[in-house]
Amino acid sequence: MTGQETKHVAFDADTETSDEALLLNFANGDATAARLLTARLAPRALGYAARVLGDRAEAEDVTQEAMLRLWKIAPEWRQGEAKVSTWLYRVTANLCTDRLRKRRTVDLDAVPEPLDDTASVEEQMQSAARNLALEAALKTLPERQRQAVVLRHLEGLSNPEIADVLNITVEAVESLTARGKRALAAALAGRRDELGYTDD
Amino acid sequence: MTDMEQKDPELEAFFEAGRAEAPVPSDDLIARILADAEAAPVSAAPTVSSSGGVFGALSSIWAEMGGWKTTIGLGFAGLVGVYIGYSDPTVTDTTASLFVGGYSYDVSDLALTASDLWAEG
Repeated sequence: MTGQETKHVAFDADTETSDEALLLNFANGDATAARLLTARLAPRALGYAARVLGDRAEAEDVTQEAMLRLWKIAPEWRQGEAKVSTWLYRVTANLCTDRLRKRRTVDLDAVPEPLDDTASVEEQMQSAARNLALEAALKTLPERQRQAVVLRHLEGLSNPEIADVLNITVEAVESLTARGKRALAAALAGRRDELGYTDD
Repeated sequence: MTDMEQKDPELEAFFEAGRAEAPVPSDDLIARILADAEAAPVSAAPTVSSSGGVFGALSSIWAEMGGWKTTIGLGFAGLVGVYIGYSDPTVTDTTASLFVGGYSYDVSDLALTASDLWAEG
């Protein structure tokens, strides 16, 4: 972690205050609340968008747009109706879906290839290499499976929370994650030895 | 996460790596987000902050019902109901007579009898 990244995390020394209370404080003009919410929520939105879109620049744009919508809704936020983080994931998911649809209709060739040349993989840290392999494998999944798997296994949401984000039933979430994991396991099967899994 | 589902230890190693290598927002992105926050409209009247829970839920219900205006109307209607329920029937009749011009009516006066219907054909 760089010094600058450490600085972002240090913004969130106040872990006592809930996201909702911070949002209300922001709506009342508290600029510090905006910084704390950004430190807490922007990494989550970015992490999710980057995994679903497979494109860092696009993921940053989506994150900025999702946070902008959060700022705009703050004065009208209805207390107790939804978790702020769940609401943000839902907005991020919708923005990602819109971008993926545009990609399909505009230029299929613009979708990044699953994995570029892997000559340097062996030179990288094992964790980074596994992450790259995972990201490449995630891109091979259908959109909804990818969203469900990322939310469940990388963002750590519960099935009911994912159901809320994706606007589907809990049973549908279970089905999507189960099929997604099977597809991921198949996609990664040939790479486990290569990535040093057997050395663990 | 629950542990109810079957975990594939090999796949879990990739997920663990994915969580460890999660992307971190750049300084530029943070600056853009905070600039948006600064430009965003804030509420003219301070929003009441609460911890949510029961108070928050009751506040929402109260607001949905129409706020203080509806509450005053309901309260007044309730007091009138209590007054009618507990007051002497003769007093109620007297009160009712104020609305019907001093004439005395009985409920039976309002109902049609079979002979009335017969007479009207």
